[in-house]
Amino acid sequence: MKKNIKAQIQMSETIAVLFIFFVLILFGLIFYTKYSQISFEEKREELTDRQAIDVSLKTLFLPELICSQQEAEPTENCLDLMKLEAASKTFSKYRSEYYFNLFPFVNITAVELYPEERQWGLYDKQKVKQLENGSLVKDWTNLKKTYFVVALRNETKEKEKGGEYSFGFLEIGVYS
Amino acid sequence: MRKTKRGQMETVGLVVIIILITLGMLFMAKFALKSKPKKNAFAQEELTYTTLSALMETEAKCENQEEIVWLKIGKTLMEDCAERELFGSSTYNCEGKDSCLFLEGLLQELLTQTLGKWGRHYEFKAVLWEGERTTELISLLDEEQKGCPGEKDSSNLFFSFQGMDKINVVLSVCN
Repeated sequence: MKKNIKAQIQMSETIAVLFIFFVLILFGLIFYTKYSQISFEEKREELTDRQAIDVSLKTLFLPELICSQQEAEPTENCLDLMKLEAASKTFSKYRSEYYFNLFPFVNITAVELYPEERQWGLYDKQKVKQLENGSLVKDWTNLKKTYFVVALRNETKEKEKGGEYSFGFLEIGVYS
Repeated sequence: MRKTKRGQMETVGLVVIIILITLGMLFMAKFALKSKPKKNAFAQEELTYTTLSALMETEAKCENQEEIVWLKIGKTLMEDCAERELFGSSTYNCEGKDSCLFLEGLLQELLTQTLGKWGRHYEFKAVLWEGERTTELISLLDEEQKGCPGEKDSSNLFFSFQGMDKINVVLSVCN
């Protein structure tokens, strides 16, 4: 009888130890899963940021937009107003053939703040998915925006409307 | 002999527990000490530089004695403001204000509509350097008047003024 009780106590001890062991393993797994989730989100945000910078730099130096001076070096941080007026048509016309490779799923808008307030939607390609009934719905949850302030050059220099350089910014939104 | 074996088993069990706890703590330490990635350092520096550069290039509408003229902020208006500070009078009188006041209002508005709207705190200063002596021409802070007590990214531009002197324009955007 005594031996039985002793054996039972020892079995209970073993079971208790195993139970605690598996509880510790479980906590470890939960902690690791949470850490992986957070790490994944951070990495995704980092990649989106990098893509935004990449697109911004490409846009700022696009020959279709940048202030050019014949054969001289183009002016940095400057967009030509006359080119801006024509750019959105050009971008839409050649979007699938050429511009999609440069700007995957982004929204590019140029905004003039001073002296006049106006804006140009240059490019917009959203992520979409097709449902079973054939309709297209948006397939993005986040639009990360980056801004670059630029000077806008007006070659026509109509004195009543504006000077040679206006003030504005470029808004680059990345869909993710 | 039995007691020895029992003792050994218990020690092994204790060692296993200690190893598990140590691994767990190392893991937590790695997670806690992991440095936060610098948020867009390049974008921040570029934003400061491009904002200041675009501001100085912009031509402001100046209604000067019933005539509209377009004056570059960076060169013409800043110089006129420096003249006003030194000699007490300015060439241009835009919207009934002297160059310095006009510039303060315009720059504050433009910075509020850009940096302010995007949630960035900033400081803007224009200083006249006459040899060793400095005179503050314009000093602006964001709408909340917080400025940048901590880390910030700054961009500088210099304009020559009357030969030897210089006007230094600095825009700082807080991190």
